[in-house]
Amino acid sequence: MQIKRIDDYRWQVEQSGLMRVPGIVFTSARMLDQLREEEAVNQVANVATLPGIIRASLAMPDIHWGYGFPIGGVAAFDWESGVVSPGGVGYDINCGVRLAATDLQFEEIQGRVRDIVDALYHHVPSGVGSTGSVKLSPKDERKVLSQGSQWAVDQGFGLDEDIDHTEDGGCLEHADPEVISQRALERGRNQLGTLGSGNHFVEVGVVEEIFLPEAAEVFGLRQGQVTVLLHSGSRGLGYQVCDDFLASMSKHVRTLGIELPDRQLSCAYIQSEHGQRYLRAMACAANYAWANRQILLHRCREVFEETLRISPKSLNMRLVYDVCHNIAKKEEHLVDGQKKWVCVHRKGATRAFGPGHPALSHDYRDTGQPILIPGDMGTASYVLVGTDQAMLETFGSTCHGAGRVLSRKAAMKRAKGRAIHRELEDQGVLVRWTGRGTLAEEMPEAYKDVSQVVEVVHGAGISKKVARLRPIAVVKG
Amino acid sequence: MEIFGVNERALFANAGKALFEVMVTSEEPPSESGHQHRIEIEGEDWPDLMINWLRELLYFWHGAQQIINRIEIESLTPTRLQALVTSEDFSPQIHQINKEIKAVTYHQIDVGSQADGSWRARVVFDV
Repeated sequence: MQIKRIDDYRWQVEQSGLMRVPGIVFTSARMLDQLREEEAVNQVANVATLPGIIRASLAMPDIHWGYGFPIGGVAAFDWESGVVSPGGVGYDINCGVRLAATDLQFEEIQGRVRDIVDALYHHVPSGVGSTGSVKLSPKDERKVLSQGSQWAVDQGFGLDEDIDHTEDGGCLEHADPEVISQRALERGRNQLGTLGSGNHFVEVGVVEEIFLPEAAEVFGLRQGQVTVLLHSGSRGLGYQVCDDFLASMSKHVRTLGIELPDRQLSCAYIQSEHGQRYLRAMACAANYAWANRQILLHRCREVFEETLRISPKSLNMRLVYDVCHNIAKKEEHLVDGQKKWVCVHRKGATRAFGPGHPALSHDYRDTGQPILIPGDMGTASYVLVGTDQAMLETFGSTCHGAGRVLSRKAAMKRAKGRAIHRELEDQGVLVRWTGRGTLAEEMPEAYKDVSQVVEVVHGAGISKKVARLRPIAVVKG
Repeated sequence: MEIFGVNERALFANAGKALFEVMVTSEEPPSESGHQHRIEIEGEDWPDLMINWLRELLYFWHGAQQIINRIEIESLTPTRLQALVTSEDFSPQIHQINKEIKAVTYHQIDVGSQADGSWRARVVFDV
């Protein structure tokens, strides 16, 4: 496979074989060397073979191999003639991140961080098979699937203004619970308000550096301020939806005569019954994930207020933004100078809409949307802002995190004999965790350097750095 | 995960056992009074059948918090499998969760016979 350098941040995977368009990988020369050894670039090429793909199969600098589509992959398909693929969204539909800012400065809580992390660990359900404090009746579960964040706010889990600072207002309106399987419904019933396991977390951080003061002010961020970053998704319900549709589409795709280089790329034409059913089911899982993160934020507010014995007003834990990074959406973009409706798949990639986009809330219309990039638990997380360049080049998309560099197995091997939690504590990060092996699998060395990833998207102009956050406490599932 | 069997029936039975052995360690021998289930699975070919079989077994964990402890393959063709399986309820007093398998994927799936007549499969799980 031929990879040609375009500039310091862009590399082209030349069109060959069944590829309908080239691939474009946003990365640096240094990270590309690492990437060449992985299967991820082949996966960029595989995605380029799918019908209706527009312009290029894109990959963000946090790219690593996934199932079918690479993680960090972005691909847009013609809304009329293209396909939608559950593998282009991933198992954890609407896995995403939300950032809340507070009125607290680090000095005010410095002596209480241990109390806060212990309380978060006890009050935010996490780990394998964890169930939430919210038990849903079948009727209420359907409401969650239809209404997303609004359902949670209506039940008292949060504030109306949270909705305005959530991507798509925390609800995809085409959700239709009727297309969700009984199995998915059963898996979703007891898991709302839970973090889950693996790389999901709650992170208490401090704003360490501001890069773009105007945007930071609009986002309500200032140096030394205490923040909360949440990473979770649609839990078992989203997995089951993905699995159900992978199973049915792998059969269906054989009737279409589409030659697939990988079965995990199973797909259906967007306009077909199969395609439309998937999009309606995916929207349900996306709404579940938004309701989930809304409840988790509410739990965090309760923990801070109770632990520090302060009022909601003094804490003022407000949602900066909630972004999803595993999703397929109908969006209008400029293609060859013409406005066109496309289905943008973002799998481990974040929407990065620039200034003036009508989908953005009034508060962020002039700046562009906030983008939240968690790093590993030992170093830093970033807040970026969307740009016009992203609209022109990446269908309004950017990276989503640091991206793994070690497999979970390799990380376990590297961590053998070490006390990762003590190493982190020495760096000033208190960690609490549930799963056996979670800390080893998720240790900082398992991930790329998030700063290098962010430098690429900043340098390429598909988003701009606003602030860096330093973690001080992390709860892992 | 790489799975082996002296023949295709053994391969499918071993795959099911391996799935749960990766996830859970039991302090006690399998319970005698388990729940019995007859399972019928279809697939387009051997790899698809393997994925669908493991998906079905994994749902016992995700849907009912049950662990499969006995598998008898009653009939098997490249597109159809019938099995009698026994499950027991997960109990934190008896079982220890090692690692949760979240999904069975088609990634690099490979199922087939080897030169010596035995069978081998490679299955990638999402964990």
